[in-house]
Amino acid sequence: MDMLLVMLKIGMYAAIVIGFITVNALFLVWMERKVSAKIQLRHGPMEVGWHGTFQTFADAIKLFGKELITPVNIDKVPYLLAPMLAMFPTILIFLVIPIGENLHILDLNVGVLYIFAFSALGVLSIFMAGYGSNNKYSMLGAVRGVAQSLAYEIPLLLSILGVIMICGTLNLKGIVMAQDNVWFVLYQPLAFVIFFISTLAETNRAPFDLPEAESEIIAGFHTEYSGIRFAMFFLSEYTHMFIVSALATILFLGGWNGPFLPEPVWFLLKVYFLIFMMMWIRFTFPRIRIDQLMTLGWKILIPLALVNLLVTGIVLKL
Amino acid sequence: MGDFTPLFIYGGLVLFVTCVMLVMTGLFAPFRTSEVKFQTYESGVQAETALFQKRFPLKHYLVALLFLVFDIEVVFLYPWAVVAKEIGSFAFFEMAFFMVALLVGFAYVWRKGGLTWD
Repeated sequence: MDMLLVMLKIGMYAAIVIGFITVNALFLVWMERKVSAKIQLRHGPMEVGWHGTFQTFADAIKLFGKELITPVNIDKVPYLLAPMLAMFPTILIFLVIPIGENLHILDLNVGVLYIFAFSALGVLSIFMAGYGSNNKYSMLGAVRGVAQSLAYEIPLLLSILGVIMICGTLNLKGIVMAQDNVWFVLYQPLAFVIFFISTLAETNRAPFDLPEAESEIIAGFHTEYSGIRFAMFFLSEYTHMFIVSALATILFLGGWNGPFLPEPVWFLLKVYFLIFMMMWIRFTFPRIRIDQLMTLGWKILIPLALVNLLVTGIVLKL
Repeated sequence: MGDFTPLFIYGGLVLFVTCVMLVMTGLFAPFRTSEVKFQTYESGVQAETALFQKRFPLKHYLVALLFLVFDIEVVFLYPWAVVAKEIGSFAFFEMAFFMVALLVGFAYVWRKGGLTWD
């Protein structure tokens, strides 16, 4: 009986997580098309549903009906495993994100480390896709992706150390509860900016979308993927956007804290505001060159993050 | 284990879901073979049939090495950051010493042009 209950609970949670991820990705694609359209003085999708709301549902269903093309020259194991590996961390990270005081599936005391451990797997799937495709464009995209994520992982990790020093815990709920009165973005504004820029690079969003720069290297690491395998990469990319924005909300913007509205509403409002910022940046800045990208990462963000850490240490000691 | 058992269960579920997606597309999608379609994509010209084994500049190797150094440093910093407030000034000076030792190396690499991408 107990066993059955546990199984039922796990099944329910899995259904919630997978349902939310799917709906979130479909909504974000629609939102991105609408935001880009408004910025470029167009209308965007208008035909399917109210203001094209169901356009992305139609697109998703269409993707299921598309032929899976598996080229002959591929390296089979990495090529076939890469889309699955791309899905893997994004779904697992969802388990620990608290969207309300009691609305989480797992409450780990090493939540922050857990999230970074799994999100680091994303670059592995990019490299496997690029290497396995055995195509020069894919390989170039993969190598760019690896170099980029190596450069931006460190400022990302260093920037949140200040927050952890202030509240003295790695538990995501504990971090949010420490921000009852003041959001950490006020204590750590520099860290927030570094974190935000690094997450743009980590999720391969413009202006850091070099691994899939479509005007230079076709589609980068997923050139050879079609149909549902391509959809898996897409799904994981948009879920990753949600995850990093949720993390920024938890670490810097006070998580679910806010007046009047219920907790999950506040949380989702903050997350979608950050995602809107990411889209806004995408359609405002042109893509930067690889040398500019590396310079920004190694020569500006890492020293700045270290300075931020030093200042936080001194202030906490006084 | 304890805390982490659910991870294995959900990991299995992810695998299951991706497999279901692949099976569904197998049911709905057409499959027509043609020799040209399965060639490596190459903007309309004949693709190289040999494996893609071009070499890459040493820069990537250097960046990876530097990343390793800094990543280990971050691994040290995380547990330190959790308890830094409790231990106080001793923790601060201890870590400052460690960081200075590391930053000397960083400055050396910077000076030698290891971070310049050209």
